[in-house]
Amino acid sequence: MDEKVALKLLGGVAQTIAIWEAPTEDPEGMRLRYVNPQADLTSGFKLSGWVGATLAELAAPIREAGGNVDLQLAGDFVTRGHVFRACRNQQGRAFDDPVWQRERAFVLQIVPLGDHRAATVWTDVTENVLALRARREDLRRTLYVLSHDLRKPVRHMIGFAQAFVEDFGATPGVHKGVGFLDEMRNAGERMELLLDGILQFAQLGHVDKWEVVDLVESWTIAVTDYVIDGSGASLSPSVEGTPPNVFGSKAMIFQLLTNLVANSVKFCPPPVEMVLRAYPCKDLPDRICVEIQDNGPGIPKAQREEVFVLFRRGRDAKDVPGMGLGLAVCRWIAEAHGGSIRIVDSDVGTLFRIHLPAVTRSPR
Amino acid sequence: MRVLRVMLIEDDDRDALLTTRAFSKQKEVNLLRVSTGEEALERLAVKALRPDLVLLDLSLPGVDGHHVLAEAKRDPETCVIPIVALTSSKSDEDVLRSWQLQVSGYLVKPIDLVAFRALAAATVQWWRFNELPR
Repeated sequence: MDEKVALKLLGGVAQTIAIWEAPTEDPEGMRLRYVNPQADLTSGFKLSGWVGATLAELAAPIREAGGNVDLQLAGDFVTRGHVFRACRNQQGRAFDDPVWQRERAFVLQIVPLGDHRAATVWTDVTENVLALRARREDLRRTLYVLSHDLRKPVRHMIGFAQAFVEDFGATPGVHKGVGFLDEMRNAGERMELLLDGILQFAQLGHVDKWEVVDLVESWTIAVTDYVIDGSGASLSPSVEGTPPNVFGSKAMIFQLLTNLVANSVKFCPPPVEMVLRAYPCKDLPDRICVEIQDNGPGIPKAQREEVFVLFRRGRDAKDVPGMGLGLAVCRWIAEAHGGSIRIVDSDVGTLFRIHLPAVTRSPR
Repeated sequence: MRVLRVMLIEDDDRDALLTTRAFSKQKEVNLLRVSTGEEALERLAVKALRPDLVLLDLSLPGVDGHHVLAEAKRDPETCVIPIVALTSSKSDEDVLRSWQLQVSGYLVKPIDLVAFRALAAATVQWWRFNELPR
């Protein structure tokens, strides 16, 4: 297939594609070689007018205006370091977290092409993101109704079982069964706790008020609450460096931090050490990477996803109180902010890595 | 000790039975149950039938609990009657809405009968401590 045909094909695909060339070891000398027609629509400025320009030339007007090159060129240069490496070393990359650009969500793939060239491919995933959001909202409503409607029959079962014991418990022959009815009551109380959990989850909802959130302040209050109520008596929290602020719901981010502290306090043998650190994401300039690490037993790789599922608990959690709500709530909160939460490899304990919106840009 | 006249607005027979049972050990309490919001509003409109205290289930068919609350609080004659929500709902929305509508208390029906009795005792005691409008 000759190059003309290939470029014609690229012009017809749904993705936004740019081809880059880095003939030298200087990243600023990387050159924009080609953009398909969709690029102008999605990148937010007339990218097609810059074909042939070097990165230095592209960035010059932004730098002159005092702007952040990464942010301003977010449409296509968001990961210029990665693009450069893909050109030079043939390292490809795909990013899971969508980036919002002019009311649309895109995910980026960087594809090495050989000969010191690489392509950036932006796929519009707005519809998927919105559909996923709608499904989550459906789930939330269903859980809400469930938590409400199941409460009444549970209360009736327990209430009438107790009424039976009160009225007939002393009757010969019946008193032997009273222990069973006690078990019923215990089961009912456990069920009520589950329903409370479902309700708490169902009430999380969306971020309705976006504001600047001081991570250190939220963290300090979260850990102090634990030290004061005694359950975290042996907790020694610390903050590494100067974490930047994030953008989102103060209440929800506080809840997220609290749940992570609660999780570590539950699972780490004392003395519990927890550290908070945060820094701007290298890959995505509109995100802050927040890390929270404890000194506990850690979570085996195979269970690192399932602990985030509602009512699912780690396999070593049998003897620890709880019902598998805390981390599911954390994931919901991170995702409600357009971010993510994962457990990543660490030398000590469990290391949670959370992506949250930076203050620099209004997220979705 | 003066009799405390309590109106229980509850559509569910089983809930009414359990609530009555929970309040049954309270002395000098006259508990009257009505099943609908409409009936409750009709009774509240007649001075002679007005209770000292209303226990209100929020999820009623037809005229729901919040509607009863709003109507009662709008009328200068009935707005002084304490209305306490007695409900299954722990949702933030229901709690907030009730307080916005000037509910006098918000109680969640306990799942355990022993706890329900304790709640009934505390409720009666609290409203006995209060000077209620005559």
